[in-house]
Amino acid sequence: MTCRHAKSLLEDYIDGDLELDQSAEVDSHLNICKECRGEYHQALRLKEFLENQPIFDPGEDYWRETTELILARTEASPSERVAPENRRPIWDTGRATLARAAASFAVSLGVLVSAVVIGSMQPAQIVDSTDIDNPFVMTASVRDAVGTSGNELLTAAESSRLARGTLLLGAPGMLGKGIAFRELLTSTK
Amino acid sequence: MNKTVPELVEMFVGGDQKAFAELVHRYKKKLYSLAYHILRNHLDADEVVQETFVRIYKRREELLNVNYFSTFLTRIATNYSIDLLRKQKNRQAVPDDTDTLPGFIQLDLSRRVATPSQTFENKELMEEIQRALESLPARQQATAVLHDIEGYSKAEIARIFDCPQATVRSNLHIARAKLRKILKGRLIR
Repeated sequence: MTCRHAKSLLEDYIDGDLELDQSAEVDSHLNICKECRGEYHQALRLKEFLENQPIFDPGEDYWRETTELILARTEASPSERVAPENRRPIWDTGRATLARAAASFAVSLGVLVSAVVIGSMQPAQIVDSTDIDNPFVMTASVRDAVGTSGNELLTAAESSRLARGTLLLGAPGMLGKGIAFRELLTSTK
Repeated sequence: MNKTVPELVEMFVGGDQKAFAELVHRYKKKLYSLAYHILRNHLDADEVVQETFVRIYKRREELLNVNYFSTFLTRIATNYSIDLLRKQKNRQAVPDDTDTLPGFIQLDLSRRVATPSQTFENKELMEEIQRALESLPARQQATAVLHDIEGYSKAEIARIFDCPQATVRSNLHIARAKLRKILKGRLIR
């Protein structure tokens, strides 16, 4: 047996997966070849270390609590499979999904239109008011705070939205404006 | 409850919650050990145990067509562990520190009596083997854990991964060869 052949069989030899005659061949090769014997001992030691990995036992309290938790979670969770007689035809499911999608789209459109309309009404209320309890005035104050500090918190598009009074209406306009609000609060104290 | 596993499974599929509780009791430690050896931290192992049983509960009707309950359970746990392991590898999760965790049953590489310096050396080498294992691709790592640490046969692993035994054998040999390469020199007595 060549060293190459012996090395290719080493893992199976260690696992006891070889036929008796093949195993005997590897055996005799290991007796006469120091290099292959070295590899065999390394493989054996690795196996020994893997088999002796430490075991972590989190303790009886953990096992009891986990069992209770699993049972609580499953009691509240029905089987996913629906009995055939209760299954709805696929076209019904499709229609319901379509109706839900249409309703969601209509609501989203309504919110968008309201935002634009309310936003376009804001400048008139902002400019002349000084009442800091009024949210529109906060918009104006933010504009002043940003404008007077000369910092570059706002992109051109955001500045434009701010000028139209719509900045505070959408999430994108709110992002990164913490500093402006801080300045606003400082300036109104 | 003195029932066999197939009897318990049948009762569980029929809606018997006590049979399910008994299955949880019989398999939770085995699943935890497997998940812990793949993931190296308690929280993730805990998640695998809970989620595996919840998934089994939700898919209990499938158990009627399952030959080996244990294999089905181990398959769910292993696949979920591999998913978590891949996420861990992306976020560079830190394994539990075995020195600070209570309940760690320390390395007993013995069956031979080890001197203190041998014990220290063994512990160091064990940690190196751990790091080497973690550097393997998830599937190879899981195969090595299942076979060399948890003691599953190649046939069982093939059923768990739903692949030919030759694939398991090849994955295992590649994993061990990589480990030996990484640990080169450290495995020589």
